[in-house]
Amino acid sequence: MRVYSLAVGLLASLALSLAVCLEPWFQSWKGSRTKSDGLLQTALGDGRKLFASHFYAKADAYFHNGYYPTVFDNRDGYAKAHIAADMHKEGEEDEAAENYLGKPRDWIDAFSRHFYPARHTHLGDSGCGHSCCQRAKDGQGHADDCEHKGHEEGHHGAKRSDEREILPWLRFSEELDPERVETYVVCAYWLRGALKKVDEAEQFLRMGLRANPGDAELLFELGRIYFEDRGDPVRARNVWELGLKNWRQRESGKPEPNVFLRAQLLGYLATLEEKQGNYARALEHLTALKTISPHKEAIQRWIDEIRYEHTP
Amino acid sequence: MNSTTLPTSPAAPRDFALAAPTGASTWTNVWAIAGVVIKELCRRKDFYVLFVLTALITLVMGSVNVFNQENVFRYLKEICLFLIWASSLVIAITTTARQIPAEQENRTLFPLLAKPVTRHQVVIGKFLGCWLASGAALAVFYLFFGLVAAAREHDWPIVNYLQAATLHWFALGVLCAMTMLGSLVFAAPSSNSTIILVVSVSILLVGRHLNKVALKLSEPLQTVVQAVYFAVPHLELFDVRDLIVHDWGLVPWLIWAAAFAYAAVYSALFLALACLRFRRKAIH
Amino acid sequence: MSDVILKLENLRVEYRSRELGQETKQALNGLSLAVHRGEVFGFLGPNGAGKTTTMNVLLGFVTATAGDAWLFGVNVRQPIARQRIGYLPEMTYYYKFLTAEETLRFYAKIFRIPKGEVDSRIEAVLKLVELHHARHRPIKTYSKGMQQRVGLAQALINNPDLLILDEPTSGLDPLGRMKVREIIQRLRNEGKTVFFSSHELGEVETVCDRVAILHQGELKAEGRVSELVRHYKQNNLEQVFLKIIGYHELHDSSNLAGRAA
Repeated sequence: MRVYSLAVGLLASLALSLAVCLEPWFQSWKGSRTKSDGLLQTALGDGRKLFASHFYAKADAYFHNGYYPTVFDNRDGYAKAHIAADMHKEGEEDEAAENYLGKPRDWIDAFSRHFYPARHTHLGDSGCGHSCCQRAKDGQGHADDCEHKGHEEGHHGAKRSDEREILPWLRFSEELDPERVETYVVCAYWLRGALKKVDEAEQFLRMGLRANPGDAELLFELGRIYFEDRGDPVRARNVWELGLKNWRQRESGKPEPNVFLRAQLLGYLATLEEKQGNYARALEHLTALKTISPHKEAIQRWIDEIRYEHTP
Repeated sequence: MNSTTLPTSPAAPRDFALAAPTGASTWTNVWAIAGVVIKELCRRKDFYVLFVLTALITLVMGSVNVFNQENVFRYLKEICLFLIWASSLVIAITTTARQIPAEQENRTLFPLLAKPVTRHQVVIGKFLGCWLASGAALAVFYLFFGLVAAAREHDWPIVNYLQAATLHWFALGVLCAMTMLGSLVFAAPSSNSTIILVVSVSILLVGRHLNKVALKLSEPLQTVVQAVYFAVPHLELFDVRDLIVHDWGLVPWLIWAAAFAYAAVYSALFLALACLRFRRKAIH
Repeated sequence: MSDVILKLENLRVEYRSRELGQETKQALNGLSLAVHRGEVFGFLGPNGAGKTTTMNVLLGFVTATAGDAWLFGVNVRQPIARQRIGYLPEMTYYYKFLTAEETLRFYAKIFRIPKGEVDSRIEAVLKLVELHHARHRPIKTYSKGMQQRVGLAQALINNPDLLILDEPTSGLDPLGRMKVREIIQRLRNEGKTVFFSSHELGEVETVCDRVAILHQGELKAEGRVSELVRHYKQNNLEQVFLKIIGYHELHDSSNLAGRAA
């Protein structure tokens, strides 16, 4: 028994010594270690992209306080309702349009709606999710004959909560699929917009750029941080022009290039140059923008304004 | 062996006139059998392993840095509740699946049935024990959940949590009854557990949507799927995790009571079938 | 009040095979028997004679194909018929995660022994079977002999008027067998009825008032040991047993067949 214990002790010491000797050499080895996957990625394998998609959808579901269609539901109704946040400002009652569930098909369907979120709301909404209540919260008031007139905040629905709740799922999605650019863009939008965490947004976008070097969309978002939050137009210009250059290299050859992204880059560059007094550059960008934008009249007006006000 | 004689009981009948069985005596037997099941769960390692696993995973997930943002708690609630549901399904189904087969295999059924106990009382007692034991496990899990949520959220909507826990418990009742019937139909506890687990997870995931799926099918498949939709116990009715995670209000108490009645009907149906099946089953 | 504690009337039990082409097996064929109060009754027969089947019918494990059985005048199909009996199966298995005391407390609850009496009864029974020192240990830590004694304890917990023992000395050492005999004698002295099956004919001859010998599902002989010995003109119960089951004829015919070959 004593010999056995001694032998085990000796082996353990040997193993530890080897580990200590090899560690510095391993640290300096810049081979596959930098590209090695974490435990989660290795465990899930290629299936991690499925999970990443699922977590991304989870973040969207969280934004809607759990009200979210499944693959079995009528997505058309929901797609229309998805942008209904803007429609809150319209006069008509748009609740029916926001409801992907539709009318209950049977008593089980009707009964089951008490047990899951069955109304369209967003994080930060009034709480009960009725459009009229959202407009009332924004100061527009209920109509005299509105049946929800007596609703107080938090009535019947979710309590108010910040958009921060979507962040963990975006984080997990990024962890599993770093090549999904959308995740970085959406997350950065909420970090800098609603949550005022500009440093974290920038850091996250840079992580995205490490995983997706030179991605135009990420460069665009990064540029917005420099321009709108940091007040650094020089860096913003550099980043946007790099984005534009990369777009030309990667997108222009595609059968359906991402024209919207190019339009955004050109639009923001034009705005930047106009604010910096580089009107010629601004006009160049606007001219290029006009060729691809559907709002040609508005852009032409903008061009005319610059020419009228700033060119001799 | 010593010469101790057995004390005679003045209450026990010394002649051969036997007292007729009463409802109280039925419940005495049922509770006695249930008590043995609860003791068994407390002494097995399953529950403790699952609880420790749930607690560990929850605490690890809670330590994740989310962009230096404090007070992010919904994701933690969701993860914890998911683990609680998974653990409770495993505990309820595996505990119930092995009850009658283990009694037969270990031959403990014979000394039990040699007492004034009917087979129905054995089935109902076993079910009650499994359901109560699952409920006790749930109570511990939900207490942990409440503490974790309160620590992050600085709020403790105890009535909401109680409602969610009780609805969850009702669902486990249906599952225990279903598993009890399965244990008398399928040959081995492992196959019974697997089948019931697959069925219950399928119901939880797609049960609500079968009517929509049916609409897209042609006859006669449409009728079959519709029939399945109306026949299966809709366990997803008792899953109010989304309401808890996203801080929706309480389910109306009348609806809660209706859900309890729904669970009771299905549980009674499965138990009745189990009793019928066990009555005819050869046990020697 | 009837003096007959246990009664079987034209009992027939058939086991239908689930496999196609297999014949129905007849385990019991028209068995009729009566055991009186205060008797120690031995139930004998070779392996496969139907002894365990008979006990299974008495205890409600098996439903008879024809005929009936009564305990204390109550049909065995009613659970209440088992209120005043104690049963010790051949193979004793109990809930391994329970202690001896918990096991006895569980069965005491089923017998609805009054709460005030349970403790004293458990104490007495554990002392009787010499398990008092191990009462708080789980049964899974017990030896085979100790588990057998737990079985005896649970059979005695309700102070039964009828004890049904299925091969009670099976697997026991000589000391264990002696202790079981002592318990049977004590129970007889207290006016209890004991109905047991056994292969130990020497023991049966010593303790039993009457015996019945079963062979191929039929009752071949019944009565006092001395009467049977006299009737069959043999020296002891073992020789009576062998004569009844036709051992000697079988042995002689096989010898003849051997010589002819």
